[in-house]
Amino acid sequence: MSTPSGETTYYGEVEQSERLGAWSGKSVPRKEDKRLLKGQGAFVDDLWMHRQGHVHFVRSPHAHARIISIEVSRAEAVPGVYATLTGEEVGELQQPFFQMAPEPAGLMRDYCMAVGKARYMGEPVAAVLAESAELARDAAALIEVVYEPLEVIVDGIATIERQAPVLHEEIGSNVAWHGVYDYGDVDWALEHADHVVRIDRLHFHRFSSTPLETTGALVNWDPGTGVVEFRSNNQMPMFAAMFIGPAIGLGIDHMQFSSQDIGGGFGIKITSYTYLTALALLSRKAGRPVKWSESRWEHLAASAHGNERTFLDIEVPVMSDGTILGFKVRAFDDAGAYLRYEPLGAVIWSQVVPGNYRFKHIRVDYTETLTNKCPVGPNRGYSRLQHLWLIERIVDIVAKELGFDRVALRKLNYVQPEEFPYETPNGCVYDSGDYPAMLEQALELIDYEGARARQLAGAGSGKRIGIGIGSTLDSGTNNFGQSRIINSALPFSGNGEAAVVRLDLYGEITVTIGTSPQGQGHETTAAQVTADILGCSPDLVHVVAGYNKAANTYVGFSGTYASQFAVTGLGAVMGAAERLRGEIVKVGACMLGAEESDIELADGFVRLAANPEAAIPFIGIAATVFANVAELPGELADSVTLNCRYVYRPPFTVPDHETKRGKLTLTYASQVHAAVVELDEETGQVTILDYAAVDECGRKVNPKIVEGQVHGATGHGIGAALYETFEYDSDGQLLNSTFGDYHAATSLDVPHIATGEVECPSPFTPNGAKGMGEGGGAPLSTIASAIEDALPPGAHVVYDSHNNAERVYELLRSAAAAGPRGVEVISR
Amino acid sequence: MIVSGQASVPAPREQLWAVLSDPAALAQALPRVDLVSIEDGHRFSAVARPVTALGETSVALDFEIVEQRPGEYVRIVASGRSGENLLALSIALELADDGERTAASWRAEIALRGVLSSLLQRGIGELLRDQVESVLAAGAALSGADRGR
Repeated sequence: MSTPSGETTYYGEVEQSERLGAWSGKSVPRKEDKRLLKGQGAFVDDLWMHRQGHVHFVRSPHAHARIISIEVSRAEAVPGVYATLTGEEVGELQQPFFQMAPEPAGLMRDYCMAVGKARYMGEPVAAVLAESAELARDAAALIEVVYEPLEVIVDGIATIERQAPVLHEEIGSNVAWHGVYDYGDVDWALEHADHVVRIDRLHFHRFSSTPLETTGALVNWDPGTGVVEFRSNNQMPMFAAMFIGPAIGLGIDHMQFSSQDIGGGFGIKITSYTYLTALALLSRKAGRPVKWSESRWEHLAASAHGNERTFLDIEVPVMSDGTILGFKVRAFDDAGAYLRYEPLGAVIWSQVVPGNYRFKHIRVDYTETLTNKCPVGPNRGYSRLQHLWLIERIVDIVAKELGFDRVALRKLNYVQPEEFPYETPNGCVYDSGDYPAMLEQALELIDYEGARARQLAGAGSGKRIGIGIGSTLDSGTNNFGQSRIINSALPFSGNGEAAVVRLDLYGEITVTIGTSPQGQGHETTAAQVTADILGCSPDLVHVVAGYNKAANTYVGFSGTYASQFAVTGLGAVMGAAERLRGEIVKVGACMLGAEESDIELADGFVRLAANPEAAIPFIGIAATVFANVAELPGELADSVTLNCRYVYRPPFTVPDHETKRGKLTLTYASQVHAAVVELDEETGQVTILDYAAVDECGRKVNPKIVEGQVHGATGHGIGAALYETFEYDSDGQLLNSTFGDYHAATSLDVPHIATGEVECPSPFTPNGAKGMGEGGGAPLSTIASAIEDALPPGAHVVYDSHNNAERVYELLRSAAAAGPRGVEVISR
Repeated sequence: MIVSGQASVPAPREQLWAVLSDPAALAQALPRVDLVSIEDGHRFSAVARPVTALGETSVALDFEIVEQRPGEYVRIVASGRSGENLLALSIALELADDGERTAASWRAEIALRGVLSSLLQRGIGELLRDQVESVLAAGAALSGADRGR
């Protein structure tokens, strides 16, 4: 296969399984729902261990302060208090966490609690273990912490200035990472373009996920075996192990992770390893299991936030026909106080360098900075949604400033259907798609022409109508080799996921997977593909719920994240099921005295294709292999286990550290959203009148699950666009860390979502599916686009991804103010 | 955060001042506040129990009268702690004759550190206003009681 230039070899198309179809592709009811809808799910707070104690973390009220002393004696004297743990102790018991950043940021000494200094409001400085959660909280109030407040920096750009207070003295500055991503020749493009559109500043705000279940864990350090059991809702346990193990001297064989049901994750629960570490240390000290359930304010203030990013000095070269040649930008990403998953965000965005467009010349000068705010972590659409929002803002602003129709401009610049697989300027390969068809469908769903008519008819009514479009990508299945773009010394590349499918003693088909689902329906979809391959009903397939390291298989990056289960997770299940099928066929052929080619699997039987009456149920195969093995020839008996493990491995290579080029991800699901909004001129209130979400994620394994994910991602994005934002004051105090002030979108805030679909099977995956569920933050782009469309002529550009009524009111007033609009056009 | 307000108190200025400048009387006048100790004529400690979204929150406060012009003006600073939260308050109260009543104007600057800064950011103004108005009303009542004796 070749690129449009005819030079590059892609991965090559993958042979797609012909066995899928009887169950895959159908909206099979979710197996998980039987227990979840009856209130029989098992979440962290449902767990209990004999002798367990409850933990309360004492948190810093200061955003930046030296810890002079911590006095715990009054708390420890309270009857029922088992133990305390302070940062000072942690400094002795724990090695700093492994850092992915190169030096100097790689020198950061990050612990599970503040050691010597607190660097964000809400950072744990001590912990109390007591016989009840209430007692632990009361006792925590008796711990005396003496602080010396230090100067605070919360501005993600000003933090790199020389006079800014330095968070981590060992690093010497607040720059966590800096690099220039330079593709094509942007200087040439700016010189030769007919127009250059300059945008001063765009800002992507800080928000988070609000899972129903906050972070929590029940941890027991067994003093006899030395094994630490982590029953938690961490969503990427093997990643957590990579940090916890070296920090407190545990091998992977001494860390047991498990979870059953997880009440939402969205990425935010990946970085809970700091809390797991603290709980392990407390358990060892107290000699008893310890349990912790995060309160809502703790979750909002001190778990992890999504990345905040500011884009400065954006220059966009545009030809007179509307062809956008690319763009140039300086990006500042605010990582907060520590690098808990960062600086991976400094490269993850480059999976989608040109967005959905054929931009060829792109330079992004990227700086990741540290501030006195909650550390960031992956958050639905991690690091890509910020960049995709920038690109969609660029397209809309170019259209408005140069007088192009925003629909036509998109269609002109989109990667065209016939260009797939499409190689981006940085060497990524978009597998398949049809963005123009998706746009057409989205516009139809909102009655675009009708909306334009309503817009005209509404003029002068005090309500301004706007129509918005957001085109985004959900790149799924990471190549961890991209981490080497930020740090060439990191020993990671490729990716994989593992699964085991076995035929058990009495003919049961059991599947275990390496992932830790949080609502994505893995039990159902894994059962669907297994049923297809083994010729049985999904009802006969038992997919073990949740994750248990002792019972399930895993690889280094097992977990649920990065929109990859449909590819890596199901790829592993399919591989393992195929292996099991091969063994079943071998044994069945032997027992039926036939050739393997004469055998078919159907309805839970092994049978002769030519004579279905000659059939053996799966239990017969299992019983023979496990209990009547002398009936089989020795060679066959030695070669089958009916317990088949498979590791799915996408065909990645190692990206180039110097050029920052490579195949960073395998699949590219896409979204085109469209919305009609109404702005109230007197209040700035935004009302969504119509909303459409068109999704393309290859071949769907379970359409109903896909639709649910689309609804969830859309609701999350609408919430972020209009309601959800973290507000810090200049002292680093988070001003909205409860649901009283942080307005997470509810069903009352999310309008009816009309959904549409386009199916473009991925040629690179064995089931034609693409990872999906993160959604690329399309609503953030769409709402910003719609608001801008509704603004009067002369208004400032929509410069922020969060547009509450106050900000929209200011934008509406900006037209009359006739001040700077944040944009200028230079035409030749 | 700066919060200010004005009130017309149904009591003569001198009598109102007598209550407001007496820590014991002041503590009695403060709603949901228990006096802990009086260190001297300028310093006293108290425990306030404002009701927030988390329920009743106990805040231990140390008060100091840092500036006063008897009968006219007083400025009190307070610092306190509630669990992991820190609070700092400076409040200035000015009194003037208004016939048989007293015209009171006040201005407070309050800083919170910790979860309360989130919980109270929308409620702190009203909470403080309620406290001041309750003190003035109680002061008026107490001074009235004095007059009745």
